[in-house]
Amino acid sequence: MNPELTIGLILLLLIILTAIFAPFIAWHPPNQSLAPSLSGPELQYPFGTDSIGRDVFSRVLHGGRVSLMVAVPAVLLALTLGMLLGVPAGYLGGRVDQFLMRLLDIVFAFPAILLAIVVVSILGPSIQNLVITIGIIYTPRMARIVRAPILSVKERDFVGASRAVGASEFRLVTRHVIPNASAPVIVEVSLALSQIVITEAALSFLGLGPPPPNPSWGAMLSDSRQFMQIAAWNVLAPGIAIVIAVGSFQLIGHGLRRTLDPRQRM
Amino acid sequence: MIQIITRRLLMLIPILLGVSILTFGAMHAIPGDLAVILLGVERAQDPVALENIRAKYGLDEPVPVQYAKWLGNAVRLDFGDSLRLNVPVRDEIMRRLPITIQLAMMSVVYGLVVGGVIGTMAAIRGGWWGAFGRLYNIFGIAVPSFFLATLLILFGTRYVGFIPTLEYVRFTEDPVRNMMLMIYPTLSLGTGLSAVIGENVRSAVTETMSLDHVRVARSKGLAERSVVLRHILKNAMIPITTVTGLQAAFLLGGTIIVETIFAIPGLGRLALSAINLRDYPLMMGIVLIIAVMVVLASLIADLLYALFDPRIRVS
Repeated sequence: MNPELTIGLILLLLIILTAIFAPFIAWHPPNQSLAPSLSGPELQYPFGTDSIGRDVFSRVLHGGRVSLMVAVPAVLLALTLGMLLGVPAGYLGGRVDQFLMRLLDIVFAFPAILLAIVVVSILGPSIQNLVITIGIIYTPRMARIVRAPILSVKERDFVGASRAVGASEFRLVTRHVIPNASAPVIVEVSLALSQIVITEAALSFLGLGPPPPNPSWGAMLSDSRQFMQIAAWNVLAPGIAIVIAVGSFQLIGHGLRRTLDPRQRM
Repeated sequence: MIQIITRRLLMLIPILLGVSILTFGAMHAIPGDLAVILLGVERAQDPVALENIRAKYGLDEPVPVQYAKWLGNAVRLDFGDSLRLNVPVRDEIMRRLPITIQLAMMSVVYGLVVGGVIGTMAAIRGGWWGAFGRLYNIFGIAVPSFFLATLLILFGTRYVGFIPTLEYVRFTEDPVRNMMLMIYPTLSLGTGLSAVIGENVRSAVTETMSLDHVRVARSKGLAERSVVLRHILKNAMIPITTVTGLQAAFLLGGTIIVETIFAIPGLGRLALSAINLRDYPLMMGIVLIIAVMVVLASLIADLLYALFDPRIRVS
């Protein structure tokens, strides 16, 4: 196990645990004004309070919940749709492949964040709409990543061998091709998760995230920017939380790539 | 080479058509009467204006005809008038576009220089540089542009007084001040790019270092400096060109956030305000222009790739 993977997994575990147990770890509720506004860090309020006197520590922990609640279903949606497009494209090849890949090229011409802003502003911001929008936007990337290894795996001898002994095409794809093409996909899921956390944070930063009072890292950052010269903790806490979350998925992705791909080992 | 260029230019046509169909489709997906959407509720009170817009876009005719008319106008960069600004969408886009291109180009240069140096050093020196390179490449991506921008404003205004923030002067008015105030936006937008480029330079250089021609260059006694520059980096340039081209969409998307934070009156900031104000003609114009720019950037990257790689150039 390489150090990147280890550190990444530890950080991820930390984020998941604090997100799940946020109500038990933070001793103040996230959405209630309890204290004077913009008070500095102290024992009672480790990260200080925000402009309307809410506990920033509690809001950062609960913000992790919202972030994961968007990112994990969105990446699963993207992976499912991406496999539905990428597996046939890679396995059937030829015209189907050509057509699907050109179709994806068209979607790639639009910046992800621009698409997300347009779609969310038409659909209206809610956690559900964020998941659907981000999931669909990341589908082309997933499809491309799923397709590439399938192109080479399907030519390998063991696939031909099971075809020779009479395995059905469905069994060939699901039992032999997909499992052997999954290594780059696992890496990509981790890297996509890091991008999705940023996308969600950027959307909430622009006011298109989960509607208030849901605590969301991006919205916390943008709300407290106007007070940052007197209460720097208010922007630093959610910002560092984003960096840790994104960094953990990046570390895991890089670490997995080095473990799974012998060419990357030095 | 000419053959490659023609083939690549022909490939543009289906992609650009697809991009336009998608934009056109999105416009139709907006709920409501399209004539009112394109005119705005206020101006739609005027029956003459309503009639004109219906005729211009053929809104009473079948959808393929509507698309053809819309495309005909779009090719001439006629996207109608902005609802809120009361000027032609084309004029407003043309006024803002150079600013965004300047920011994007400065970020690319920054990304290439920083990513190139860190990636190369990480690969050839290893040790401390290697560890730093890996860490930089991971956390450079992990710090979102809007957080970096916030940090730069927070600490920049405290400790670095001479760099202006939150104001804008056109390059033509005062080039020095313009470049000064582009420093923070460039850092915000270029750091993520430099990490992506850095990681690709690192792996490309690592791979190139073990190739035969590098060993030959070393064994015939070339100075280390010229081995790195002439034999390693020149080869590593090839994948880096492609990677940089692929980042065009990421970069132009990033201008939306960075320009909004630093109050730079470019296309990105215009895009966000058009979306917030439901200024649909402006929004569609910008979306289409940005997509076309991304497609053109990948075309340029492909052509550079062909230029750098003799195997492609000759065949």
